Amino acid sequence: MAPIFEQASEWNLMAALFIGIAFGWVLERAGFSTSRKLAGVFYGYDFVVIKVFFTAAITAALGLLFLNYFGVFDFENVWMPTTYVTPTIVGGVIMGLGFVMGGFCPGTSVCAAATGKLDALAFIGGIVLGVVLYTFTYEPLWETLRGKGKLLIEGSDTPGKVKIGELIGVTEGVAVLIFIAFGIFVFWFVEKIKKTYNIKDVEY
Amino acid sequence: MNGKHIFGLVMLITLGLFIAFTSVKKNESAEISPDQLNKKIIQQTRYFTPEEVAKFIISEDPSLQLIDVRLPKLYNKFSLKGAMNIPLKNILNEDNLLYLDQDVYKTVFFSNGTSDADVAWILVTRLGYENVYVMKGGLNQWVENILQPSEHSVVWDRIDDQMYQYRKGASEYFGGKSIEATDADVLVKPKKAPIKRKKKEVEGGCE
Repeated sequence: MAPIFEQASEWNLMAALFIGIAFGWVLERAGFSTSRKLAGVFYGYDFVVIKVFFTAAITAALGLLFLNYFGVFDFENVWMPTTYVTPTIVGGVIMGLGFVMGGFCPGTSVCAAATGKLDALAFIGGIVLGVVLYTFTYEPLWETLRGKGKLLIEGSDTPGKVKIGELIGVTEGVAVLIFIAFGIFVFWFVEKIKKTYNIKDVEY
Repeated sequence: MNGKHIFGLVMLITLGLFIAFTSVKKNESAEISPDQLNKKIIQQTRYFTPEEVAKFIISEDPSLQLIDVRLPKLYNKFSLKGAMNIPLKNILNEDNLLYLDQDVYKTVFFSNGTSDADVAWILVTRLGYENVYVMKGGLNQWVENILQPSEHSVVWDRIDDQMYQYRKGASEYFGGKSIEATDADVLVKPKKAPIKRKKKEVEGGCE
């Protein structure tokens, strides 16, 4: 069944528009359009972001596997990026620093700018500046880094595209179960922190 | 923890446990993607030579399913032993697909040349069917190699000679141009195992 539209069809953009509207609405309702909510994860006074992201990941993983199980969806059609370890770590550090300083991730900054927040507009300006800087320093700084640390697992049918299950040697289903267990542990853990330090839920 | 939390927990664990015991499967009913099809077309593994097909027929291979994709008129004139006739234009009929969508038999398509059989092969491979093959060169090659094997070759070595002997033997089996078979190891006719029937012991009665 999937993809719903043929690849390279002009309807893809229409689908993206509606999915984007829905995504923005959900982000806003989850409270992601305020930098305090996102920065709170790092300072330890708000854990909504962690809970929402784990819920989203678990829902998506279960959804994919169940749709595949009932034959609606072909798992091989899921696009996966190739895994490069070194640039992922470097990029993660840069992204994390931006996250904790700005209080937004690229998606939520656009969402927050739509609600009229000025810090979000500044953040978007920073994104544009970063893109320009990256472009002009691509050849000396980033070009060699990009292809470093490609993760290869022997006997994989999709070389370079690593799934967690493959990495630890279990099937996709078991990997998802482990992930769910980990998610439940995280839910419990953040609730414990909230109780111990008497943190109240706040709406900004 | 209140009721909502417990419900969510149980749901997550139940779904997770269920999915943990399944495995990711390919959707077999789905058509294969163009790039996969391209890969299969480039590989030449779908071809059987007429000699290989002859061997299957002579040894009465029970897993062989020969499909003649030519028109019925030509099929009635001449075809291979045990071949079924499914003309190319009717190949996607539901009744005919039942013969092709299985993994017990190896289905070998043939026509006069290679192309029509190749088209049939591509159509059913696109549908994701396994175990389908093509007889390379078709019936023209069959006549040339099996029914009227010729000795002429610029370079002639032991392998060629073995092949020639084999073709001669096969030719005799299929009633082609008669050539005196010389070697003893040539496949001529399959030997049927004599059917032994056990005598039934007398059962019942008074003892």
